[in-house]
Amino acid sequence: MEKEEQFSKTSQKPEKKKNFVLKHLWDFLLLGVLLVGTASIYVGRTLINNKNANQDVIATVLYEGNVMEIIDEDGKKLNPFDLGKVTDYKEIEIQGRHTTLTIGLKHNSIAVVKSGCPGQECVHEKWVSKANHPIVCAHNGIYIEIKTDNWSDVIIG
Amino acid sequence: MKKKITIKQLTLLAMLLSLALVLSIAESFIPFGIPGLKLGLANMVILLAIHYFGFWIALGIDVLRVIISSIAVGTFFAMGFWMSFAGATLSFFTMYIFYRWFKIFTPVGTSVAGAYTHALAQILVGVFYLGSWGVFYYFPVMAIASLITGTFNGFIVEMILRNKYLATAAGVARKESAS
Repeated sequence: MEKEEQFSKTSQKPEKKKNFVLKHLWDFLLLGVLLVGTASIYVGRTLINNKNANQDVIATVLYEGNVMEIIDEDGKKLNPFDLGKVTDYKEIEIQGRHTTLTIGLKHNSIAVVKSGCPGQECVHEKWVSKANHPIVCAHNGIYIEIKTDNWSDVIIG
Repeated sequence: MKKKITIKQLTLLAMLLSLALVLSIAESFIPFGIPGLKLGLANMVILLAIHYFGFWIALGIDVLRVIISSIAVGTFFAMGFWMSFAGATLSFFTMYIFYRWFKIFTPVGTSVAGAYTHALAQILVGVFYLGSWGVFYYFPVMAIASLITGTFNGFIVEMILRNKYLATAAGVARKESAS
């Protein structure tokens, strides 16, 4: 009797598996379509990025969609930053909507090195030098766009 | 005649709203390094509310949890709020449409569709708010993350929907129960 029960239990397992797959067939199809579509976007973007590698980049700091006015001690306009011409490491402090951010500049690279925002996503992006890689600081409404001759690279902080 | 709400339904409703709020606030403290990327656990509660209470009450819970959690976290009316708001409402409508009219999908498919549109809406708000399509850089990562979390949340919702006590408390005769 026990053996019979055991047999019926084990024979139910493949049936259960089959039912599970059949029940979720459309779910898995939807998942597959979305996954393939998104992966295609990712691969396409990576290919474009690789094409633009090793090019000089220009970074523009935007505040709520507008180019932010950043001037040095001599009154010279710094924004947009021509990162191809930057030779030494430099830090610039800007004021976002809620907190201040420190932007680090070096040859063909830019980063938000310090920010008072709670999420710190902009700081986690670290140094960005590739085109089409944005850094966003939603909390402060800051967005740093990096452009090459052909494409754009953005940092939102 | 207006439909009366029972004490059990009211209690369950309050519990769902509280749960959605707690999950929203808690997951906002988990950093993923990408703005707007979250586990989407609150979406699970909204999907349950759609099954148990229908369109209007679920929409109410969804809107309230976005507003209250953003006040609690301190992002009310900031860009993060609009991202959450757009994501929550678009994913709500998607999930409701899937639940109501696309019966071929189980809560797993509905949750996946909701999570994916949530990510899409957040990116579109980012594009609108910051005035650049460059924000789309984040879309593939966010979308793939949403597919994983959406699937996970969908299976949890499916399991919860099998619970007869909750279904009874919600006052729904779940003939087509998730089993």
